[in-house]
Amino acid sequence: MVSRAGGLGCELLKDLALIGFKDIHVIDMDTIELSNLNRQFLFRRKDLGKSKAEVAATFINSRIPGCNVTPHFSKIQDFDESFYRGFHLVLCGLDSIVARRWINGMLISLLSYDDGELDQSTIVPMIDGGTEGFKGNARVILPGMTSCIECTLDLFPPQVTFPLCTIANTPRLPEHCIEYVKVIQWTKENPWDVTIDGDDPAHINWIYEKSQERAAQFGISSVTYRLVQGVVKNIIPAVASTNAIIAAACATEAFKLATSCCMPLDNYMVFNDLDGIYTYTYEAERKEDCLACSQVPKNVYIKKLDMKLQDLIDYLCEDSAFQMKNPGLTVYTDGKNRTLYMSTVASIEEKTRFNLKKSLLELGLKDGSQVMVADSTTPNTVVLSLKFTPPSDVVMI
Amino acid sequence: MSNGLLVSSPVEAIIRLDLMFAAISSTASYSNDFTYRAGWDQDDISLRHVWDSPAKGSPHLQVEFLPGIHACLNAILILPSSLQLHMKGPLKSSSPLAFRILSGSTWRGQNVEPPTLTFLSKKLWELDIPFLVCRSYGFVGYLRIQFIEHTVIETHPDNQISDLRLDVPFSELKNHIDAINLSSLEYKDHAHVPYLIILYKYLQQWRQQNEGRLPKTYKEKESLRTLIRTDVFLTTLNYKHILIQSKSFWIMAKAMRDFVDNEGKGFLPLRGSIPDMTAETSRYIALQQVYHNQASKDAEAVFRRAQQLLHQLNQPSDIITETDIKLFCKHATDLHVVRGTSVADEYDFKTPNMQNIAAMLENPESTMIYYVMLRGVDRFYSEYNTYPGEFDDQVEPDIVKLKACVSKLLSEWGCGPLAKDDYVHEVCRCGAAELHSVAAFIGGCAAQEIIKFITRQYKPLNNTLIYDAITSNTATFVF
Repeated sequence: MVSRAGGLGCELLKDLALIGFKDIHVIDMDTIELSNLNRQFLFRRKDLGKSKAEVAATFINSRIPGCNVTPHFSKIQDFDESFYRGFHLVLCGLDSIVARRWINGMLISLLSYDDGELDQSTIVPMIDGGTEGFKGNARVILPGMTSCIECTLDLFPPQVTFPLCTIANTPRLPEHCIEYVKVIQWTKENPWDVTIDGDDPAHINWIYEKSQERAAQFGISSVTYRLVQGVVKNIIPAVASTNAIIAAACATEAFKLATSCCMPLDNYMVFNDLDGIYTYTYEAERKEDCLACSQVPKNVYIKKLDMKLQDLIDYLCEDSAFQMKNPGLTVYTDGKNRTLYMSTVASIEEKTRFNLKKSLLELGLKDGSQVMVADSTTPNTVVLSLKFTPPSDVVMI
Repeated sequence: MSNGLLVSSPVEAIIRLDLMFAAISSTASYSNDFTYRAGWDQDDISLRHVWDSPAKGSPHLQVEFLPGIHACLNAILILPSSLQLHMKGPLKSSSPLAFRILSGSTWRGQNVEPPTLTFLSKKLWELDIPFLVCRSYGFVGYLRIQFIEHTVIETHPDNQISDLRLDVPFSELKNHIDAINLSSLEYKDHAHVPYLIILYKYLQQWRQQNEGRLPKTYKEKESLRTLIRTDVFLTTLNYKHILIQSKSFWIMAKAMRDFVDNEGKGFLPLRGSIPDMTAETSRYIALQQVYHNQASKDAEAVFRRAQQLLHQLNQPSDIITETDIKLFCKHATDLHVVRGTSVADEYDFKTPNMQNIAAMLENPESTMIYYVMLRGVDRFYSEYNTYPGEFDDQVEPDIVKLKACVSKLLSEWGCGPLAKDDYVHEVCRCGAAELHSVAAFIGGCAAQEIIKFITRQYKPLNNTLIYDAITSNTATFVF
């Protein structure tokens, strides 16, 4: 199964089909846009607006005889465990960390244990690729056996790049406006008939002013001179050849796992061809208390007894080990489940909002209390065990 | 395995080239980074031609380049089935973008043989045309780039050290900072002062107390840090494209050398940029302007010197423009020159540095072993006219034969025998099969290196890459 038919996904589908895989499914909820065409080579101009998954599948099926690609014009989250259990391998050409975490959680939820022993026949290996400019990585995850996405969550840098379609059509952030002026407006108007010099204050100032105009059109605020400079000097374009290289490395791993002709990558390769061609391959280690692949409740040490519920939620969103988006918290006390806070359902949010200002003690939580957390980054519930008396060598919140 | 799989590798390299040229032709300028513009006509790309062509399973692929590219690009593609040279335009090195590619791929029974390689290597070396060789053999990938000299101005280093000159301030910087009196500022205004200014002020103070020296040792630097930390405002302050021919590169380098010896007083031209820092916009821009102006002055001086040199050399003055010089000066600390070696010399076993191979082979896990294996495979083919393990019933006897070939090679190179036979077994096991994904990996790398050569940005591979797809490792060797 290939999740997403984008820059990496097109390469993956072509590689898998040419290497001899006959039955491939592809999931993508996006439609084809003009800016995709330079590197997503299974698409043509006539395909604009159509489903990426469907066009990619049709292309491969007609070009490579004997290969049968089944498209799913849907979100990865639209399918349940029974769907994912049906695959031997899952390859990811995803562009977001949240989606990776979701697939990772889904594959971990397929595992079953007999007397605490992992039933290896329930493992669906995940092969994950990612690229950014001239850098990329490929990794093999055997859920329950080797390190998973959550084990190494701290490896992901904060995301700073923006797809061209967002810049052109749906700007949300001040960065999007700046990128638009830089990529499109400068090329059109070219005020000094030169290329942009990120160190020339006059250039930056021009972009700054135009970005402000564009931001005003879209009602976006806080375009600053500093931000303009940061964006102008730090663009990371999608590089077709990096996608090709990373997808090829992933396809090789799929071939190895499917045929057992040799050992799979163990388990993480980073790639960088800014200066020559450099790779580094190492074994990323499992985290013993990983939120996803170990079933042990995660200890959270509380320093301040008057800590508010809002502080706990902020911690879950900001801490590098959690990086949650919109956590919903419930607690099991006195034989019943009680919702402390949930932002995703408006009516519940309204009823639980006042809890945010209460301290954990006021909410009846004590040392050893277990809090269940649901979040869009994982299909599973994360169990936190609150510790008010920490060992001396841990950082407390 | 299907036929399509076997022919995939030349296609792979071509695909990458096409994508890349599409990127070049669609981007008005590529001096900054590779960005693409959504505007070019997708259907013109020859990649589509390759993919959409009905030549399923046929290794005979005719490749058409975009009309705009055609004028400036001459491509040689060796299609493995026929070993014919498909040339577009005559072999010559005068065109500014002249770049020829050899996609030399192992194809069952149709390898690009060492004699062909050596012939092309010599020919292209004489013409000063970069030359690329790709191979995909079982789980091994190989990429070799031959070039005489390659110069890069825009190397895009990952971590660039700022060029600030706080130790040797130019007069405008000194005047700018001296005009700012920190102690007269309001408490809140301190948070708006760029930290460079604060650092400079305290450095001056430190030097006054230390006979004008700069802090050198850890202890001295620590004492400067302590000095800054004692500042009363500490709690509020945030302390915390152009393709340039090689010839003009060297003229600019000489002009810069002259600048360093004269106006520069021993220093390179100022880069003219400062790192981002918390500061009020107007203060930051003012400081930025000071650096930018000085950099412009330095670049002007270098430009004048370059023009003098051109005059002395009887060259037209427009081969080096002011924009060229500005770019050159901006990247003065990161210029890159690399000189290559020829494949022909590498294959002439008397010349290459074979101690290097021997030393590498002392580590039995070294990726160098795969280089030796590929050379052993060439030797095997020249003796038996088949590839080791190519026929199922010959795998076992071929192991013995290949081992003998490798041993002969190693003794010619003055290396000891192989520590273990595992790699010989592995090479015979694959039976010259070409895995599409290994070819795709090498094709992607090749395309990327070609981009670097053509744009003269980023540092290219020098000069051999071996990809071990079993462990997913790569290694770079210089032959």
